[in-house]
Amino acid sequence: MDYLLHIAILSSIYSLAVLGQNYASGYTGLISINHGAFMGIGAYAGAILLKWYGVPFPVAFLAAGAATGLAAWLLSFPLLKLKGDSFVLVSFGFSFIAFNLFLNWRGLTNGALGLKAIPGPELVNLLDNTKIIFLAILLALILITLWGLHKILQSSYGVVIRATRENQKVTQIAGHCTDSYRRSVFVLSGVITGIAGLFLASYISTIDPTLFNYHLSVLLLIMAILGGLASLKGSIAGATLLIVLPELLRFLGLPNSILAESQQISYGLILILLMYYRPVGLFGTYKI
Amino acid sequence: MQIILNGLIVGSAYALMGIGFSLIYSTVRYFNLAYGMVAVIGAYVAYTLMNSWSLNYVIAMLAGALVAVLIGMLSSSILFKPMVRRGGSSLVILVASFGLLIILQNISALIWQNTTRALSISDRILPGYNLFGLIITPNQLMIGAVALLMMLILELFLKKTRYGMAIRAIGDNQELTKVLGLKTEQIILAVYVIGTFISAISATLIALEIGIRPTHGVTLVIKAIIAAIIGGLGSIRGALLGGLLLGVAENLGIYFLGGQWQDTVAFTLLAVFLLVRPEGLFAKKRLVSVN
Repeated sequence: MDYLLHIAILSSIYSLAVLGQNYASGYTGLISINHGAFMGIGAYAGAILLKWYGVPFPVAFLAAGAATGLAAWLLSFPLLKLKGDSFVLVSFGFSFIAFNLFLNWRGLTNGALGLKAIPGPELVNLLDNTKIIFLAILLALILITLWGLHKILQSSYGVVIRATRENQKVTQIAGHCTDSYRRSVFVLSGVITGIAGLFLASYISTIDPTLFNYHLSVLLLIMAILGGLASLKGSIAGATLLIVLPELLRFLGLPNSILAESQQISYGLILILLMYYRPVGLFGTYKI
Repeated sequence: MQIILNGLIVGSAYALMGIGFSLIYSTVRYFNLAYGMVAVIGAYVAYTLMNSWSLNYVIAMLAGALVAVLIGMLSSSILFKPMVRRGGSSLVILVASFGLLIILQNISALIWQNTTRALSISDRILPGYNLFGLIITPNQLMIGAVALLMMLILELFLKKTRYGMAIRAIGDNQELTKVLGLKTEQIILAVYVIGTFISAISATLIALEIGIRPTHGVTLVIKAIIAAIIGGLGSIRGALLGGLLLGVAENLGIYFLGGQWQDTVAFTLLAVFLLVRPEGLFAKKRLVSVN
């Protein structure tokens, strides 16, 4: 039971992060490979405040969102000038730069040793069946995010951002400042993913830079593509599937020494098969 | 000065990596991220041959490169070519090639373990040569000499032979080349062979400086991409200059900021070039974009 709860919580955290990824990549066509870095920024910002300054969880929540939003806003200036393959490359580069920062800004992040004993939400500490409460908070947050994104996408704003994905020039000619639309999308997507990072930090309570290297960024993009770009339910399906599938490998009786590698290989295979047979993913509506 | 010399030497190996990447890119027009990993497998094979059969470095390097070529050809004909035929966009292939990269990287980790393997041209530690007050080690000499030799051969091949001319023609205009009756698919395969061959040579050379690790597949393909983009995709001379520039910038970065910021220096260089001069130093065309 505890194990199932653990899987459910991890799936929820990643679902939230992938919702952020998909909002940028699926609906607005910003194929970024840096959302793992955003998760890291949210996680570190929240964890530092929770651990060293003892702030209440809601404050850390806001701070994680703000820190990631700021990072996404700053990154958007060079990034949004680029298109296609070069956009992908520079965003990929940012996940390396962020990893370098996590690793080397020792005064703030404690370097390779990472931060330990990060407190969770107070409510959770007060009660016995803490994991259930944690999951409930997460699910509530996911529902709010789903509802919010749904509303945004139905509004005229949502129509414009999808238009920038299809053809930026035409949207500009139609009188929309596409850059500010895309920038706002990128920032909100970063905020959502950063908050997921905070939940990851306070759930596993120990973070170190290797958690947030480029592998995580790639994993989030794979989850979004597997579930389907430009599909909200797809984000949740993709994240859950990729959390559950490697766990199933555990039950195949593979020796521990090759478990991590075989999980990675299964990710790679999924990616290739997906791109080969169904580039739109499970529920996707947008083909890259 | 010593830093700049070291940078130029490792840069010449990066340049080789970038040239191979650029060559492949100019004919197929997609980013193959598995490129660096295939080259690293070549270096691993060379390492194994040197250690278990005590082969000479150069022979082991060539044998490793042949294995890499085989993998490169297979990946092109089994995976990428059918995907292009099914109408996959360049982004779809980029993502798929990343999948291949992950698979190959983890298979290498299973075979050769997740540690750094050291490679040297000789068992003993040889003394360095003194060159106008600068020190150059035999390993470095090997890197510079082989890289230079490979580039000369490639340049002659592309400029003087019919095959080379066909490759450059595809780089200029693929449709027109097809209309003229050249077998483009066969030429693309040949480009994969050449590109993978020189990339594996380059990876084995770089291994002399930094050893071999499964994760070097990512590192090397990124260096290749950066070198190729700085120089201008599709331009051999550009990739050469880009590689040298990257090598020097990295070594200066290590000297002034410390080795832990190496990736940051490399990617900042890439971002600056993409923003300020996206067509690179020598390119004929801008980087192909999706829109």
